[in-house]
Amino acid sequence: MSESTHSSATVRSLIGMLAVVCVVATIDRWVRPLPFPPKSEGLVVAVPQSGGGSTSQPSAADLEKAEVEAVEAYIKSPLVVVFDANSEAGFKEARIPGAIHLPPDAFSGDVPAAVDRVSRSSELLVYCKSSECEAAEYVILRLKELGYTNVRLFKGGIRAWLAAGKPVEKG
Amino acid sequence: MGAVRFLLALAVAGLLFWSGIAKLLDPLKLALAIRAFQLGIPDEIAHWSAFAVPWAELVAGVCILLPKTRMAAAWLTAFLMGVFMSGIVSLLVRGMDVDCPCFGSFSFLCDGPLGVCHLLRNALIAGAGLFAAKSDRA
Repeated sequence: MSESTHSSATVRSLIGMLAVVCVVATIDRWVRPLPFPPKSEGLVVAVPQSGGGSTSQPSAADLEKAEVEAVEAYIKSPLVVVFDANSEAGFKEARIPGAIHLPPDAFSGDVPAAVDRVSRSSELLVYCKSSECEAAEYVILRLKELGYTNVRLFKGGIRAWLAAGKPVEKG
Repeated sequence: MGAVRFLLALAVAGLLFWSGIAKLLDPLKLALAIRAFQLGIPDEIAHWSAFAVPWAELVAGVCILLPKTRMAAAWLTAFLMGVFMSGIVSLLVRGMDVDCPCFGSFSFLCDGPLGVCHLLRNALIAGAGLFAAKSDRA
């Protein structure tokens, strides 16, 4: 077979594969819609205000610090259960005192034991590494599917907590 | 040489199956990971991609085992790896720290957040696929 025949056969095969992928993915997505939330809406613990009567926008560091303060006040309530969605290594390295380990992989089978013990009416706070990780949002969506309605995200995660010099548990 | 190229194609197919099935079992993880890249991709596209990427991996995995479609499957694999690598480079440039949903709960060669190791691994997979397909024609 000539080189050009080979090439055109390859292109035809490639187009066929892409067509199959497009059709199957579209059907699969239609059959299994994802519970995707609007971006961060309703998940942030507190919307901080800039202090000092200044009209300037608060910096990202100010917002993060204010969020940590809000979280610290929020989790003082005995009704609040805190879940750490980081990996086992991350959980052992540093966690908010009293936080329960609940990584995304815990949802691969039955209801995770850590969740089963918590009342549906409890207030839950979930965090992961930082605002860049998606593990906490995954856990929040799965918790909502299980019927937990009072679930909030600590967007800054353990990095913001550590940066603010708050106490952590290790090991 | 025939046995070597088939084994190489088999290895690439195994990785693509593993990766595709792990992602298809829980497409939400991939959808959230795509969003974590902060590339401004609309949620609708992120949703669809969370299904399209694993299906593309499965289709490439099947077709790379068949001599007639091996070259096209190798190019599809290389394209997928190229897309993943572009995403990883954009994370590295922006200094972002995003975990890899590549193989579900497991890891292959690389651990931790997406980085240089994942770039090299993806280049290796793409190269192995193309090499298996090229030797097939020689």
